[in-house]
Amino acid sequence: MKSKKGQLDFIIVLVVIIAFMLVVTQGVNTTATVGFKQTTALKAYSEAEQAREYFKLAARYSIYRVASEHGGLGENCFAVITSDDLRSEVKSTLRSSYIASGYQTGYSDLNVTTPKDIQFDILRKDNKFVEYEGKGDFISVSTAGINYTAALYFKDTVTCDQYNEFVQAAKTQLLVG
Amino acid sequence: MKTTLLLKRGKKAQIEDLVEFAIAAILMGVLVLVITVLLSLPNTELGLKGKVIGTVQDFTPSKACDYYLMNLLRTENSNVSFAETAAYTKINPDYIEIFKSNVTKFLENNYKRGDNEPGGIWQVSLSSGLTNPYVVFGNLTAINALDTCSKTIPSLTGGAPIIVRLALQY
Repeated sequence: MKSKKGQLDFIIVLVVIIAFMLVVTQGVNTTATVGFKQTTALKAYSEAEQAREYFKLAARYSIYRVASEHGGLGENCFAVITSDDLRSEVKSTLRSSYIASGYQTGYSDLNVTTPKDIQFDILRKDNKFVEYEGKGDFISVSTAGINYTAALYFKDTVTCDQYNEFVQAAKTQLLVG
Repeated sequence: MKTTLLLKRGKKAQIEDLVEFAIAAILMGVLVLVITVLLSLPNTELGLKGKVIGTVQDFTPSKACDYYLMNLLRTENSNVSFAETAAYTKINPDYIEIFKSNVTKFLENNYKRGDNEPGGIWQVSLSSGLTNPYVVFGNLTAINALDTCSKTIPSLTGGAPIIVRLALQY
């Protein structure tokens, strides 16, 4: 009789403890904002890509400007300048007009640093188009705990058709002599 | 005789009480241990904690906005990229309409969000450095845009760069 009472007491205490623990642990749903670092990393990656694109376009515009200063026009637009002069003048224009000032991001929360110098090469082909290639140290994009770095590299071709479009656009300006 | 029997029964009952107490204490200890371990587990199906309601970080620019703007600037019309046409707008006003026409055609054919219908609501602007935009077009008021992204492109003369901004409804 005494033993049965003890068992009953124990079962009651056990049920109370389990019920208490269930009440404590049930419904403790937590909310969390996830993915901040991942989305920030994507933003940094995109910005580094755009910095590469920026310098690729800058090199292209430098080629346009040098060719126009030498009066290049028509189908053989690059015939007016030797390959060595084209290389050195484009490199000089690219450095002074674009590399020196660096890439400026449109986002205030990103800090972008770009190389202060660049290895640049250009190859003229048949006076009708040129291939150009640029290499540099790392582009660094940093923000809120993320520091993304990417090597600066670009390679592209400029044709006389593209250059002539620039001449057409710039005809009202003093860019073309 | 009767007293001795009672004493003997009393000792037996005391031992039984002690054993019962020890068993109960051990069982409760095990129970507490199991609950403690379960509570310390991560929020998996095994854990006793509630569900974690995760909200993906809401941010602008979104990847989708970036994707459309980057593709837009790389797209070419007659071998001239839209980024170049955007740069030409600074030196020749005739290229403003060419740029607007190219961009409108591109977004009408390619921009799809949500309902998968092309030609959503957007706005594109060009500004020189941090100044106010000198070209703004599209069917969205920028102040109502929930998602905006921008790209910096070089100017032809090497001065202040051009900021191309795309604003999307969502």
